[in-house]
Amino acid sequence: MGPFLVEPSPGKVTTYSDLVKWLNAPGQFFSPFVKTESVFLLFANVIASLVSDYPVTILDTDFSPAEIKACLGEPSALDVKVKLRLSRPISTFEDLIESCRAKQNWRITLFTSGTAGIPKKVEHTFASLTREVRTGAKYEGAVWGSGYNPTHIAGLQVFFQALMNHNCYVNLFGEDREVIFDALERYQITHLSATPSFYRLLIPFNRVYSHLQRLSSGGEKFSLAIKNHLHEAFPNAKILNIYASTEAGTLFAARGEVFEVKSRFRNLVKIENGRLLLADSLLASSSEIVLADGWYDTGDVVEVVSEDPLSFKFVRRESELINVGGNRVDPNEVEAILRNHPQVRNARVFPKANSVLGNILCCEILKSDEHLTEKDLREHLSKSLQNFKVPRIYTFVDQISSSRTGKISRSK
Amino acid sequence: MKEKLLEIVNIIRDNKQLARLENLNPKDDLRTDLGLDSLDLAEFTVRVESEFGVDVFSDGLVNSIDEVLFKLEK
Repeated sequence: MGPFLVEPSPGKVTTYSDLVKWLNAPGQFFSPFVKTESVFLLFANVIASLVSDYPVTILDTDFSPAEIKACLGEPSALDVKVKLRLSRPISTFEDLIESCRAKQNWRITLFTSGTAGIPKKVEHTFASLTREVRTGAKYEGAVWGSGYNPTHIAGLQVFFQALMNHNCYVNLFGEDREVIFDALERYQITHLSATPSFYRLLIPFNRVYSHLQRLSSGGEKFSLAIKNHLHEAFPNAKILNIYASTEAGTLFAARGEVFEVKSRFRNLVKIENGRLLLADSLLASSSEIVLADGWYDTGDVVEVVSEDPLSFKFVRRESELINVGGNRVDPNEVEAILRNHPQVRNARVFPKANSVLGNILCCEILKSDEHLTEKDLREHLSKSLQNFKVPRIYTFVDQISSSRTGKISRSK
Repeated sequence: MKEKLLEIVNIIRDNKQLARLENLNPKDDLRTDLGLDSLDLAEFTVRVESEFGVDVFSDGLVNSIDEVLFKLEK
């Protein structure tokens, strides 16, 4: 029945037959609260809960005991096992998909990374999770590489896109450059989805991959600089910038930086005081979403490009702003200027708490030329930034750290 | 300890294109004599803290090198 999942390190390939065999194993149990290092077991448990029409909750593998308690109330929930009872026999791929589709009201609970430290709970149905899944003959034989965390919404959306088309999912989350380059070639990945941070990790590319058909980027601000790099490495791929959120799923797609709001969303999206607001009908059900007059504030700062049809550029997440002595600094702006320096391969800007100013700006630099100094960077930044936006502490590193979602980390 | 403080002050002055200092006078005022503004002072505290493990500004304003040394020696 073909490959179902690839976990590139240690190079484990599981097939749809393995999955069907797992579901049919005599006395098979599944966990309704899933926390596992194995991507196969994660997906197998999600599918088992789906075909049994039993709600499932998934947790990040690296949640601390305190976070597990905050998410589940009782950590022992992780030990709960439910006997798997198939409502109809599953022996072929078609049986499997039919079983999944019949469970439109099935619920899955996820946790967003939560900037305030405590993970935020979001509940999706099969319908809301797969709203943007497209199936059809054009996806025959597609291989989906995902740089998203498989326990988060973006990773799950790629997973269901692959599953519903009988395609293979290649997990690239948390992998090193070399493993990713090898996997692109070895498994002939045709569709790649990841954050801009993931793509930046790959620059400079070691070669050209002409077999890639489609690339999508989401979760962070996309830039034309990344797009140009991607065009060079993946000359035949259509490149899409996706706007999505854990609360609403995928909403908009753009070829460049500008998102155009389609007519079907016209009355469901508005921009007020530079913030993007979504109507409640677009949202997943979650007790932790706060609405004002039926509108949800995404916390995303956007710039209106045109009013009719409405189009906008993503500027930043409000919560990313760093307060330096009463001045608010957008770390993305500083990072973009650092990355413009010819001897900088990648950069990360983050706050360090400070008793004089609240925070001071620090940065990590991955340099492409060993002669680059802190002084060069300060001069480069001072040409285009106000003094308070210029980082004060510089560290040269071999790797830029990222968050659980695969976005650039804003913590020290 | 004083040499290390001098080194830290000089790193910050260097980055502001101010001349390096040969030595520190205990009575030197961080702002008026050494030319540090509030952003520089914030950087100064972070560098001092990573060197000596003490946040010299944690319980209020510190004005002179003397006062910094006093906090560090406490």
